[in-house]
Amino acid sequence: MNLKGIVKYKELLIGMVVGLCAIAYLIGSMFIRRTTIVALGAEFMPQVYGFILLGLSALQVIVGINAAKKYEPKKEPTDSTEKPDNKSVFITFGLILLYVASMKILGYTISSILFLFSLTYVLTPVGKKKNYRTMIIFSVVLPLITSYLFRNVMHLGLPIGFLGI
Amino acid sequence: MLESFIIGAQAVITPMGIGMIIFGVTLGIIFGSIPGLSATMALALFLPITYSMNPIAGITLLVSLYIGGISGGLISAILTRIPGTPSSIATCFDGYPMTEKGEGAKALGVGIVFSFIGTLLSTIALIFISPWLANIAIQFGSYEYFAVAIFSMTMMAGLSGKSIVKGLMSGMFGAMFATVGMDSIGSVRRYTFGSSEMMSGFSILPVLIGLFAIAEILITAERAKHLKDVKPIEVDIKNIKGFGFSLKEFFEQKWNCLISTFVGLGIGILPGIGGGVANVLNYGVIKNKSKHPEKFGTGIIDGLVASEASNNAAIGGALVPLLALGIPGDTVTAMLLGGLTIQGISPGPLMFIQNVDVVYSIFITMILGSIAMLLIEFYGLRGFVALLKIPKYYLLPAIFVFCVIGAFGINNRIFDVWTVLLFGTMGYFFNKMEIPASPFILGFIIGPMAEINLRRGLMFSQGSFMPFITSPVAVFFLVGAVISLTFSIVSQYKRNKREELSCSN
Repeated sequence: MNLKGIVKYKELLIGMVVGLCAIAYLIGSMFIRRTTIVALGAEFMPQVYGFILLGLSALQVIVGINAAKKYEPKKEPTDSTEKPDNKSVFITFGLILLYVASMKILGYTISSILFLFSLTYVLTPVGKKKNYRTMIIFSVVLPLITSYLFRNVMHLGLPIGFLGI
Repeated sequence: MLESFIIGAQAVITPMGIGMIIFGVTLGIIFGSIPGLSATMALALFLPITYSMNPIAGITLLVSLYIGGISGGLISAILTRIPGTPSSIATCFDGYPMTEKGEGAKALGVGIVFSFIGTLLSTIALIFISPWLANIAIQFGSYEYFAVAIFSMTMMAGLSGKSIVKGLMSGMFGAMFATVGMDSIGSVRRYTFGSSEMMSGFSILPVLIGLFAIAEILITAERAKHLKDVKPIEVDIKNIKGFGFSLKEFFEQKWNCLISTFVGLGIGILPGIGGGVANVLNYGVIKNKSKHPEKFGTGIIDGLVASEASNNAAIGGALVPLLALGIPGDTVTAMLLGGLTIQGISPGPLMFIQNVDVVYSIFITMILGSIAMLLIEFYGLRGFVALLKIPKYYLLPAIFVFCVIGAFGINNRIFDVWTVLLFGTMGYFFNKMEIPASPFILGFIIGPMAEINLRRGLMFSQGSFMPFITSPVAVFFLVGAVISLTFSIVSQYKRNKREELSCSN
């Protein structure tokens, strides 16, 4: 299915995905241990939520079918600045993943320095000259200050890496 | 009450307390004024700072951030036509045209003064309503609380925006995620997948930070590459008298202000709906009541007063259900709920007995915070305008780092940071699929409340459902729930029909 197809069937797809989530959740509720301590067991509410969500997903599928029937393609924005830049979102998300994953190994300070520099680099608008000096100062100073403040002044724990910082 | 006030005042009116108010309001205004940042983000960012503070100092900071954050949105709305927060969407309608006409300083003055009045009046209402409501709520048992929870859950339909089905789906997802972990009554594991970290479930703060702050960062990242520098229209505030408008103009707005405050307060009190809805809805109300509705949108102060008085009045309103019932009025109060819980305080009727100092320090903070907002926002305007120019590509990464600190600091575990990421991704996809995120939070907070009270109630009644439908209070709320849901469905149906008709024409 191409992008136009996805847009046309977007509402229907939402209904189907949510329906699958509801089914998975309901299957999960069957593995909850049954107890006789109280009138209603721990599985009761998950089952209620699961069935309500399943019902809602069915409604959404109906809405989606109607929406697909009435679908009229919209004009795509000609100006590139109006289009969402998915590449930046993917890179941002990838950097965030790397940042969180590396925090246990590198510690808060070093992983934050690397993360701040990389994300600032990625998000700098097209046509804007990258000011590396400011970027480096910003990326180094912020983690150092926050690390000192939170660890020593506010006595809050932050991840410590193999270098001990 | 007077004694409680004195206790609250003694706790807040200290160098530390006043410092927190000034610091919080100033930062809140900064967050509110920069488009893409919000009061919710400000609270997410500063929550970790409050962990090591005493409860009153921490909550003073958070409430001050809230007041500043809601009001700050008017600066960019008036000067750049970009609402700083959803609470100031309607401020753009008349604020920016006034600036274009050369009345920018007057627009800012009107916005700031009526923001102040809205906050102050709603605080007075909060002071009287919340203890009264808490006094009633303290007599509630499981049956009544279950009914209140169901009533609050039906509010998800009202929060749904274009589609009730999507809003309810979002709310159900919230309730479902809240079931993860150890069941609070029978201590049975649910959806933990054998992970010991999942046993305590998802903490509210990482969920909130993820859903609102991280998702917002990803959304802004979509356009970051093409973001142009913000160029606010220059406004000369040096040579204006007072706040830029006459006493006659002020008194002409008295009824508008009162109605707007009343509407904002009412919307704020309803669980889950905040300033974001209040300002747009009230703008319509005032426009329809006006003798000259055609002038709305051309740059008249009536529209500005309608938006600013109502969105700020929603602050006091949103705190009513939070303090009296433990149910947040909007996403920012959900953050406040998290902040209070971290400090070991459970909002609800018992708070008025066990933590009376905290309750009244919130009231005092709101009064002092609104005065601070009036002065700081007007006299520090130049500085805030300059801050509008801070590049997003520095701000967003910095905010994320603070969110990580906040998430990690809750339990000192990376698991919470992953939770932030999970819910951030979810929030982003919700945004793409036009599924509102606010009902999710409502479901996440109220779902467990409904479950615990239903099961506890059944334990008391030995498995009988009868007390749930014979308790007058429970019946009142259950009938309210049915009415609220029916009303939402009917209004949605009418709206869809109207849209279809306008499309076919």
